[in-house]
Amino acid sequence: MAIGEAACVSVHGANRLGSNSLIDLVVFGRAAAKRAAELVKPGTPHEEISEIETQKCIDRFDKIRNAEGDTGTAELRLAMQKTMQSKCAVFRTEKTLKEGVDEIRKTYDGLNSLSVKDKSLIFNTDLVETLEFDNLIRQAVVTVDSAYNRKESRGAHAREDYPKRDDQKFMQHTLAWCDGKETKISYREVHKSTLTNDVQYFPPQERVY
Amino acid sequence: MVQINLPENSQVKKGKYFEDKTGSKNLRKVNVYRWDPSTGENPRIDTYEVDMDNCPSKVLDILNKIKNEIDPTIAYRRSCAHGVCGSCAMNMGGKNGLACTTPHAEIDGDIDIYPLPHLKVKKDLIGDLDGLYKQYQSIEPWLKSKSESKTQEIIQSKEDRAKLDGAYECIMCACCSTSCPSYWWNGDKYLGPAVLLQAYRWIVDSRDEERQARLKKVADELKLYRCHTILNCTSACPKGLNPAKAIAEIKKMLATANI
Repeated sequence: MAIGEAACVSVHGANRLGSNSLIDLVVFGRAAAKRAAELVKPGTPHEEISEIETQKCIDRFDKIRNAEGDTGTAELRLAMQKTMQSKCAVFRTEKTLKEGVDEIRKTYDGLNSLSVKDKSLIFNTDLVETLEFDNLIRQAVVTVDSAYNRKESRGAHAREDYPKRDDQKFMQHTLAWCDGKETKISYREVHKSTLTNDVQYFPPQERVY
Repeated sequence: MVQINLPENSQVKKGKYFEDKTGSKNLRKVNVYRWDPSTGENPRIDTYEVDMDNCPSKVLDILNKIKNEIDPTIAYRRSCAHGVCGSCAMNMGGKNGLACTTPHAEIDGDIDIYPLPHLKVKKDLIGDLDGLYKQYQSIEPWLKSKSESKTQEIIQSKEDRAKLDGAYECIMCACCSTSCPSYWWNGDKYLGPAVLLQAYRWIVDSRDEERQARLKKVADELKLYRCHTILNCTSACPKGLNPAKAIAEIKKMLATANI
């Protein structure tokens, strides 16, 4: 079961600005909780996790903890922040996004020369920040690739070279697969109907102020 | 003779010295308490030369600069960086406060940064707050209402709401409790200013129906009356609150009410 941003149930389409995700919490959080309560018997132990999965987590942890490269996490994180802020900000163009697509991969390559100085296992904030960076840089690669491929403006994605919304081509969710710095971009239809007949489907409208 | 020295393994030694590598003319020395429980070594004071020409105004900025540019092994809590979350409470220049709201310009000479006083240290600047959270839990910091109705809101007048001002703003950073000598001495039993301020916050809430029980619960020689109005708490509070006054109010209620 997934709720919130992870579920992407088309309640708000591309627009997740402000506190719109509240509806995901309230409506789908409630629905998921009710369904979970039906399905799960109290006291049931968690399904056994396969050794391979556990080992994957430990391998990742150990690899990062023992990283002996020459680039500090803070340096790579700053490079990532600067790329995302200057090339993949709210207002974007083909040019900035293309530069971002290339630049963020250079930062991604920094994972190979990563250095974690603190090797301890108690309150190791150096390690935690590096694990965070490892998550974030993958997220950044996917974000900039998805934005580059979406040649329209929608919600917080404002392409100055494509100022209009293009429902013909892009009224769909981006699906992205991340394998290292390689990504595969695909799309999924947006739900255009409600679950009951109590309310009608609201078609998207232009945002005007 | 009673031994009053610190045990051998608690004595703070001189640590590493990190010389400036930027060539800056505007340097400040920052002395930071370091301790890593996994090494078996004594605590030490590491000294960092920090380029102040490229450092924003708060003590937290100095720590971030050290962690990002000089020594990533240094450990401290921080989150919001805006004086709202209370994570970066520590002792700077001999005074408790939030690193994110304390300007380093207000500290003369070398900048000494220690964990909050008298807490068990987990690592470097990170104090163990488990005891404080247990005490917080003990005052049951939630609204208690016997009323049957669960669908209607409980109305509160503006005057009654105003009674919570100065109490609800507390962010539980522990600057006050860890500045209190009485809490240093009896921290296991005395609730301390932070928790008592919260106890007060629920005692005076007009919507709460267990005021009497709450008062009775704190009316204890150790839990409440270890406050000797030293007022370090009020002077330490980074949010400008007055825990000492709240404690005095509780004492006054107990002295004047029939419980």
